Amino acid sequence: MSTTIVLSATVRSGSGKGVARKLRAAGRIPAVMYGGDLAVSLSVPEREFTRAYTHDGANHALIALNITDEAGRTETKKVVLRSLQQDEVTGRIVHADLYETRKGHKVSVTVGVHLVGDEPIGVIEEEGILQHLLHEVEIDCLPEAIPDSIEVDASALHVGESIHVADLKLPEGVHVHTSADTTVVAVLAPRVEEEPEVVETVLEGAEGAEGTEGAEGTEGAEGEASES
Amino acid sequence: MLSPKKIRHRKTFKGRMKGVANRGATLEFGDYGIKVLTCGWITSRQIEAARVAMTRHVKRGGKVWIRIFPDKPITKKAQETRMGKGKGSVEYWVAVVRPGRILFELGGADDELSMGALSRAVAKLPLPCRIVKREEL
Repeated sequence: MSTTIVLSATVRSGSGKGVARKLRAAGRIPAVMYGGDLAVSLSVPEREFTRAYTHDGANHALIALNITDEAGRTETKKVVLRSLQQDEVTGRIVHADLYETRKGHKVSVTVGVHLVGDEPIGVIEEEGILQHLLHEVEIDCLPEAIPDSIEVDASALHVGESIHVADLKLPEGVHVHTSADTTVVAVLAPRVEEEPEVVETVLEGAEGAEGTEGAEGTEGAEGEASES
Repeated sequence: MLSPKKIRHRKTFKGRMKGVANRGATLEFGDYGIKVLTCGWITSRQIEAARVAMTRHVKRGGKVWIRIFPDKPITKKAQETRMGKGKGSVEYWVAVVRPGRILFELGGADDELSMGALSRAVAKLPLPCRIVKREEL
């Protein structure tokens, strides 16, 4: 079971990109909390939140959020991270969606799938390539029973064998949303480097004179490709 | 080298690049990847050179995914040709990339080997790039 992370947040009154940009410039992340009676606009400190996300596993753990409202009153809510927006280039967190949990009600969270144990036999003895295809699964469980991660032992895999979602050993009370036939980990046969084929580009719907022109247009590129 | 099998239009306009990559900006397959930091064109030759650099470094140890495809034809007039007489012939193919786009992914290799392979691939590319690693959940 994962640990509870403690974070602080303040209620924000304004909304829109101007307010959000000012918050980000001041070192805070705009966030929203829903799942309870009303959706509440919040802001969370960027440093603390980013650290909790990257190091402490805040993306699947239960978060105890100490919310301070405009009157200065503090209230603690148990939330989980529902979605996160990140800058495409820098990776900086831009916005967070927090989902308020209720006692006795299941929540759906995404947890990591980690490989444990030795290297697969197919890699050690048969020179296969271990391919970890599914890095996270969406699960349904009670907030108190969210696992840290789902562990998979791939040490017995030979080349050409794989483990699927249906084969995962899940803790009690945990239900997986991800399709049962999705491959989690596989051992592939080693591939010898092959040169990609040079393909002639065909103009779609080309007929008569235009088609000939299309073929001519690609001649240059094709000729150079064969030279290199 | 990569080029489309079938095209709808032989020649395209130059086009303008603005904004950031909204799709293809996260690692989907491998553990490491190359993220481009500015917009630009990457030719099929550059993609091939980067791929070869990577596969030769990892040898049989990993799997490479190419996340971009050169589908834009670039034309060029023949040398010593006077201006006019129409647009030149297709010379090469490029992939248009915007900041944040993942160009290549690498999986199945250890950290040191992956970093070595990807830094060799970055050296073959014309744009500033960053090597990104999958964040463990």
